[in-house]
Amino acid sequence: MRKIALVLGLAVLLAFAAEKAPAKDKRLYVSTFRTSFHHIGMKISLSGLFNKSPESDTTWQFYGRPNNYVYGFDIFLPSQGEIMALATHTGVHQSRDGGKTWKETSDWKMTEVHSVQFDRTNSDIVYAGTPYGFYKSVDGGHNWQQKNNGLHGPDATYIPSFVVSHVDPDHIFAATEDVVYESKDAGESWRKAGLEIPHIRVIEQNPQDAEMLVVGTEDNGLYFSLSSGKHWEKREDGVVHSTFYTVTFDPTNPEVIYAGGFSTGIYKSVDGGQKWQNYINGLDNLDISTIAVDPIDSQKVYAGSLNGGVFGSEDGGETWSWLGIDNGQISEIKVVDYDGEDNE
Amino acid sequence: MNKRNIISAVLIGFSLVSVSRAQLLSRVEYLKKFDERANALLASYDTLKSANYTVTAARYGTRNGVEIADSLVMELLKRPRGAMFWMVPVITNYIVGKDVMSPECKAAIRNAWKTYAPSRGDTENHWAMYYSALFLAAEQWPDLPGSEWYNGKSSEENRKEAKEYLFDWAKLTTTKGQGEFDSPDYIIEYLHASTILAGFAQDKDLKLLGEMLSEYFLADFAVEHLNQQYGGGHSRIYENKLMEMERSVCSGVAALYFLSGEPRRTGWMVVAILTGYKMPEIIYQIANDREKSYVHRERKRVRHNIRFGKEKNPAVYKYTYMTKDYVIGSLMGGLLQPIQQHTWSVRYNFGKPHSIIFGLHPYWSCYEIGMFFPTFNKLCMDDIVSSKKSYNKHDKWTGGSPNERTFQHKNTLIALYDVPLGTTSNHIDAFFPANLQERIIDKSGWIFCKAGDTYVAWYPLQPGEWNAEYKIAKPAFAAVTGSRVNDGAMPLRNYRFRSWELQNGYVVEVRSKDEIGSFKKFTQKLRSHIPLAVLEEGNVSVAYKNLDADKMEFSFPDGRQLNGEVVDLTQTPLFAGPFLNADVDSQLLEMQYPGKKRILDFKKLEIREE
Repeated sequence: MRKIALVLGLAVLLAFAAEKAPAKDKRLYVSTFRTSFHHIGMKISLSGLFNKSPESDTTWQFYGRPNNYVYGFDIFLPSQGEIMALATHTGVHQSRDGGKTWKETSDWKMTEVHSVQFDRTNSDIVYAGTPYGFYKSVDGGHNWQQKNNGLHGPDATYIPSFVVSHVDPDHIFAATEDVVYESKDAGESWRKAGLEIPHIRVIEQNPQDAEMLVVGTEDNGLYFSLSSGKHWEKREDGVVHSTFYTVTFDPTNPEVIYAGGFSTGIYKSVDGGQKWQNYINGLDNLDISTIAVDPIDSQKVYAGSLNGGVFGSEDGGETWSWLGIDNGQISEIKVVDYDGEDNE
Repeated sequence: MNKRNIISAVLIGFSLVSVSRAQLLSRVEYLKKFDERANALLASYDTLKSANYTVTAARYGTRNGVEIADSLVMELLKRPRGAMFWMVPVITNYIVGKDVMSPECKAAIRNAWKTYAPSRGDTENHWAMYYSALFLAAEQWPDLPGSEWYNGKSSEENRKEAKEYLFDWAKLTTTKGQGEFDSPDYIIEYLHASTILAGFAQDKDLKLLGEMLSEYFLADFAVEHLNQQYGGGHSRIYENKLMEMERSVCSGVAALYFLSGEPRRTGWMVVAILTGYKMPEIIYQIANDREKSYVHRERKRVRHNIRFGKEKNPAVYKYTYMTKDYVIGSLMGGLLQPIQQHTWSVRYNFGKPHSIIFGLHPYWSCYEIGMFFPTFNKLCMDDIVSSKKSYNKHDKWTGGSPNERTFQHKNTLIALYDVPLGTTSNHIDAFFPANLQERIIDKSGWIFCKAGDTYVAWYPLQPGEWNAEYKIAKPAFAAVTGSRVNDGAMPLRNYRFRSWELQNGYVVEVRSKDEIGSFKKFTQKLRSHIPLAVLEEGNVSVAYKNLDADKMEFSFPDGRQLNGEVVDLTQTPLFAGPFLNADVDSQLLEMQYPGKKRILDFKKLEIREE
C-alpha cells in the first residue's frame, strides 16, 4: 500500500470516462482513512475516495464510500470497463460504473482490509492484505479465501502492505509485523524473505528493476534489497527519522526514490537510495502516509498526510503547496492516466 | 397526582433488594412485576416530544401519539448517524410501528437503508448489533436487489451473511468465552442484539438463537449481581460508572429483569422491552438468591489480538466470591482488554453509589492499542483519547497493566506489581470511598475499613501517601464558586492511596458481620496476619496465611499456590459455580437452581429443562 500507483488506461476507456469528467485524460485519486479524532458513531465526513484533475480542477469530487475507513484502493482498466476496488475497514468494496454505485464484495470474514490489488493482467484475480492475513479472490472479488499457509501467529498475519512482482505475477512480497514474507505461488504459501526486521509498514518494488525491493519500517528506517529479497541492507545516509509508511519510485527514473513517514516530511534520493535529502518547505503536516509521482511529468509529485490533507509539488518534491481535503487522513494517492496504453 | 407522579409512585412501589430464597417470587408474580416496571418505563417516554428513536419507539409501542412519532422519525432520518446505534433503534421503530405509521414514514425508513451506509464498527458489540439489525431489516424487505441496499448486497445476501456471522460469533462465545465480557456498560448492546432477534426475527433458528443468547448474557450478569451492581472484573467500564454504578446501564438491566432495587428510568431498556422478550425465572432466582455465599469462576476471551502476541484470543480467568453483603472479584491481571479494563474490586451494599474499593497500576501505551487496533502506532494516542479521555492520565481509575497480577481465594485477594522503570506510571493507586464508616490506618500495617456490615482490610506491601479527591475537580470548583479553597461545599468522593514503589502489592481481606462478627473482632484477628513479601526487581512474591488459615503463595507473574498446591488457571471452565456451569468447547450453558435445571445447548440449538 501507499505505493505509487501508475495506472495507464486503455484508449477505449476514454469514452466511458468522459461521461463522468469531460477531461479525464489524467486524474488524481485520493483515498482518506478518516478525519481527525473519529470514534464510532461520529459522522465520518471525509472518508472515502476523491478525485480531481491535477491540472484543471480546483475542487475534489467525492466517489464514495461514506462512513468507512478507506485504507487504500486500486483501479483496473481493462477494455471491458473500469473497476475500482477500495480496501476498507468493512472489507473490499467495488464499483464497476466509475464510482456511481458500489458493492461490498467481501463478507464478515474480511475486515480492516489495508490494501487491495488486482492482478495487472486479469481482473478476476484480486489480492488483499489485512491484519488477519492475506486474502485472494479468483472471481473478481466476489468470493475470497484466506491464504495464510506459512504465516504463523498474529504478527505474521498482520499485513499492512504487499507488492505483486511486475515481472512475475505469482511472486508476491508481504510486509508484516513479523518480517518480510514472500510467496512464489500467487499467495498459496509463504516463507520468510530474508529480512529479520519486525514492524514492516510498506514494501515496494522498483518498476524498472524487479530485483530492487524497498521496505519502510516502524522505528527501523529503510531497508533495500537488490536481489529480490534474498539480501537486505539498511540505507540511511541523510536519514534522521526511523518510521516510514510509504516508499515511491519515479516511474521514469529508477534512481529517484521518495519516502515518508512519521514526522519525516519528504525524503528523496536521486541515487537509488544511497543518499537522502529531506524536504519540508510548504508541508503543514510532516506525517506522510503516501506519495505518488505523475507518470507523465515526474516533476509533479503528490503527498498525502496523516491529518493535513493532500500536498503537491511541481519541482520534484523540493517545495510543496496544499491541494485540499482539510484534516483528511490520507491513506493512498494514485495518478491515473486514462490516456495510457495498458493497465501497468 | 399527575401522570409523572403516578409513574414515580409505581416505580418506587416495586423495589426489591437482594432477598432470601423463601422470598423469591413465583413465575406469575415475577412476570406481573416485570410488566409493571416495563410499562411504567415505557410510559415515562411515550409522552415526550424530543427527537430521538427511544421516544418514537416508545410511542409506537404504546400507540401513544403515532403521528408525533412519524414526524420525529422523518425529521431524524434527514440526518442519519450513529452506525449500529442507528440501525437497532430504527429497525425496532419500523417493526413495532409499521402497522400504524404513515406510508411516508415507512418509505423514509426504507430509503434510509438504501442511502445511509452505517459503519460496521470495530468491537464485538458493534458487530452483534450491526448484523442483528441488518438481518431483521433484510427480513422486512426480503426480496430487494443490491441496488436497494447501502452495501450493494441483495436482501438474500444480507440475510445469509448476517446469519452466518451471528451463529459463528455465538459458537466462539460458547466455546472460548465472550470477548467483550461482563461489561456493566456494554451489556445492553449485547442484549439489544439478542433481544431484537428473539422478539422480531421470522427465521426460527435466529429467533431461538436470540432467545438463548439473551439468557446467556443475563445469566452471566445474574451470577455476579449484587443489588444492581455488576461484581468482579470487567472487560470494559467507563470511569465515572465504575465509581457510581447506578449510572451504568447494568443497574437498569438489573432493575428491570432481576427486579432488583429501585426501578431505574433507563432509556436503553426501551428497545429491549418492546421486543417482548421475557427472561426465565431461573435467572431471576440466580440474580437474587444470596442466602449462601459462593465461589464462581469463569473463563472469558481476550479481544482479537491482531499483533504483538502469540495467539489471537488468549483466555481470561475470572474469580468471584459472592455474599449477601459484598462481592469481591478479579481477573488474573495483565492486558486483557484495551483501555477500559477493570481488573478487580470489592463491592458492597452499603453507601451506594460509592460502594467500591479497588487498586490498579495506571498504564497506557501504543503497544497496548496496537495489539487490538490497526492504527498507526505513533498516532494512536490522539485517536484513543479523543473518546477515552482518561486513557493516558496518571490519575485514571480504569485500564489493565502488563505489570499487574492477582491471586484470589474466596474473600482474600493478593495483587502484585513489578513495574519496569520508565513505564507510563511509576506508581500504583488504590480507591477508598470517602463515605466509609471507618478508615483506620493501623500500626500493624493494615488499613481497616468498615462499610455497613462489610469489613475490608488492605495490607499495602509498600508505603504510600493519602490524598483526598473531590467529585468536582478543583479548577472546575473554583470556576463555579470563585474560590480556591474547599470550604466544605465541595463533596469529597474518595481517598487515593498512592505508592511510588515499582515492586509492589497488597493483600485484601473482606468479611461481613455474619462471617466474623464485630468489626473490632475483624481488626484484632488480622493484626497477627502479616504477609511476608519479597519485593525486588524481577523477584516479587508474597506468602500469606489468611483468616481462614489458608496459605496463599504468589510469585509475579503467574506462580500461584494454595495450601501448597499449584493453582492452574488454565483448567478453568467457561463457568463453574453453584448456579452456572459450562465446559470449554461445550457450546452449552447449564443453569441450575434448587429443583430446576435449564440447559442452553447451542450445538443443537435447543433449550432443555430438567
